[in-house]
Amino acid sequence: MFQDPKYAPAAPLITTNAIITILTTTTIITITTTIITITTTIITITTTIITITILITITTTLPLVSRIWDVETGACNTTLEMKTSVRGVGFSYSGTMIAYTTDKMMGHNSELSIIDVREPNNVDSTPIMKTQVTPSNTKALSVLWGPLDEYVVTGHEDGSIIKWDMRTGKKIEVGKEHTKQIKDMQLSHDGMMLITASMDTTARLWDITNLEALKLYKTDRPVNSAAISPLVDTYPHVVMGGGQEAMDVTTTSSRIGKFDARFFHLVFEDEFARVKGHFGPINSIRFHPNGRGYASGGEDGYVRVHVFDDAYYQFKFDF
Amino acid sequence: MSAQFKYRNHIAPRTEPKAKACWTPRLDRWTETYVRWSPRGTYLATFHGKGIALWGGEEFRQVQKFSHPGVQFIDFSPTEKYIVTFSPHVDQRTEEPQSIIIWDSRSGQKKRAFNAERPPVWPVFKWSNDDRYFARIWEECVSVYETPSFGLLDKKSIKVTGIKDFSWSPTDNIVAYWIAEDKDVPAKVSLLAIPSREEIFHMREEAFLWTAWRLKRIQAFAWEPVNNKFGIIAGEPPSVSVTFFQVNKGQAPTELKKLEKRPCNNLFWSPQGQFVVLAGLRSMNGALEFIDTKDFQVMMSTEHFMATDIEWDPTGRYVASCVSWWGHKVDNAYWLWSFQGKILKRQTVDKFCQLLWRPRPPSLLVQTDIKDIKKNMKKYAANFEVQDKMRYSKASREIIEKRQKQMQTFTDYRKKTLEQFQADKEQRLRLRNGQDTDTLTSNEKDFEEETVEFLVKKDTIPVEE
Repeated sequence: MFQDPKYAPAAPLITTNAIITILTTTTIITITTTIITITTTIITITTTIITITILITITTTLPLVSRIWDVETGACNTTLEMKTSVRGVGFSYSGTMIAYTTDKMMGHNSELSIIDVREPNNVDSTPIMKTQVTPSNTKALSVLWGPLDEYVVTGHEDGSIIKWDMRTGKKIEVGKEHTKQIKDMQLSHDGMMLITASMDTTARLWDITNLEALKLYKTDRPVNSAAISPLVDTYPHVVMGGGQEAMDVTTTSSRIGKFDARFFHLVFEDEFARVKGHFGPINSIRFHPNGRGYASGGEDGYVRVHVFDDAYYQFKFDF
Repeated sequence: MSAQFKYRNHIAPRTEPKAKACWTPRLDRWTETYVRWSPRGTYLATFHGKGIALWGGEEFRQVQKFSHPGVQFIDFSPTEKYIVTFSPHVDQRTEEPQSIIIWDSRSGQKKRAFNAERPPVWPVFKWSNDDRYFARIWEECVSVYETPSFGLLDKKSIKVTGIKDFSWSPTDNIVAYWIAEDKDVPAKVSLLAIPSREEIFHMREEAFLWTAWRLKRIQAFAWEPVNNKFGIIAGEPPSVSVTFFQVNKGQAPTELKKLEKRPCNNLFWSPQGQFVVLAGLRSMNGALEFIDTKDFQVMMSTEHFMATDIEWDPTGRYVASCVSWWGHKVDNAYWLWSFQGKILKRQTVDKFCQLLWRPRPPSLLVQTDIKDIKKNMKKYAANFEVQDKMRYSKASREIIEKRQKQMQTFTDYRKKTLEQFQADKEQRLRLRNGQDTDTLTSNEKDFEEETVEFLVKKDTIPVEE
């Protein structure tokens, strides 16, 4: 959604579950002889306690640094110097570790590193684990933690995904199904399933424990982002966004670009809905944590936030 | 480039919802440019650097090949007995003619070679309907050759000064040619019997039936393949109009209907007549209109975005709209429609180039059989309808069964993973200092509720006592 500076939310980020209830009650009715004065409106705000503490950002301009931020205060806690640009970054489930991957450039290999951030004000930039991704694999562009801080999964330039033991830095599994670059990886709400979006115009669903390819969602445009509905057991849906790359679009018609958000049935792999609106490729797409809407961010500079109408919940496939 | 094709046996007139698909193995570099069907659908010709290959038979194997380096165009004789190939590549070392070669399709034997005109015209030879003769215009002469000897008929060409064009009768061995007007000599059309060379008829300009219309910028013209209507597309967008005319014997053509402001630049008649598809191809975004010229009702107004080609199937029951890679680099696909414009299938194929319906051989049924079928159509149709219905219900049943199976597999998988998820709960709690974040509401008791009140709006409404 946000390209530059890149950012990744802290793992224990629980979306501000702000429920705003507007009550239109006629609480005060003053009757004088001819005049009625009406209505105060009460707004009740229920706020959850937010456990976010830190946020990490990466700037790709020189000097190459990663910064760790305090979300509550907006202060920058730590600045980590990098040899090459950071391409993927992610907090572990516990929020105590950060995994990041670096680009292969200026004679440096693409690397996967893990640092401990338990002391936000005094983070040691020496990784607790570091492993060379290249040259035995293509460079890692995205990284994601497994559900219990035990392993990380990286998405690669050649379309492969690799699971690494976070302690030893050894490869555990390789999933090679996509034929082109992985653009995005997201977990299901329970962290048990993984969805990958690829330039090869498809998205795939994987089992996170053994990287078994479960499902394939086909489109006719590069897929930049894909997400699994948090209501997956009631509404088994995935949403995908992408579109013709700007440089490949010969005309300005957004019809040819196909910048629609596409909804697929997670199990049957069939597309059942499309949402138009963007006039550039969708770069990032997410379900709302409650599964009742989604947001998409596009190359056109817009973030579109959608809430599902009744038809979304009523639609069912015959089976 | 690879090619795939589907075919179905032609049994009898019937309404079949889906063509029986027969897939050949996909072969890469199967053809290097394009493919051509022979006129009766017996052979499929593929183009290669070194020549032409013919494919056919039940399994669509390669049945013949013709070596002609640099071959660019081919033409079959009407009964498919012979194939004519053209290549602009000429080997300078030999003086033998080599641009145009006529082959026996079955044996692969080279029958005769000719030199090409410059610039070359194609097809260069026109064949009589029975393949007995073929002819070309060469230096103000009609040169008629006979088969199977491939010699010039009576060893000399027929001199016709001022000849413009000629064609064979579709049924008899008669050549019709015309001579353009020249100073005092009016234009002339003559019919010539072959091989006797007897002039059996001629007509001078005065006798022609002339009608002229003044139309702005004609974009397309097409005769109805059967019957006697034709359509003209004229005008500049957005005020393009389509006009249909009827030609009656001995009368001036009458205008039947004019359709104004149509987003089209091509019209395609059904091979069986009556139905026509107006298409706005390429630059016009692929707008399609299916029209019944009996009453000029627009049966369907739709589009296949960026369509580049329209192909009617030989029976006039289906229409294919295509986005060819030759014309447009993305969304290459072919869509199949009924003649009424009902969409039947959308098939996306990466780098799809060309779709050609397989021509059908002449029916094996004799006239009386066809009459009998037409008379008893209801009886036969009922039978086919039952078959169609069974096929439909089988198809939807297969989908349902497949989905049920998929859903069952997935439900079992989820059950297993959710068990694992529950088993990991302890660990998750430990990693997040005892805070349960499994669902959005799992730590609801930790919520702080705050009530903020403020005045949003104040209205004053006078009310009567």
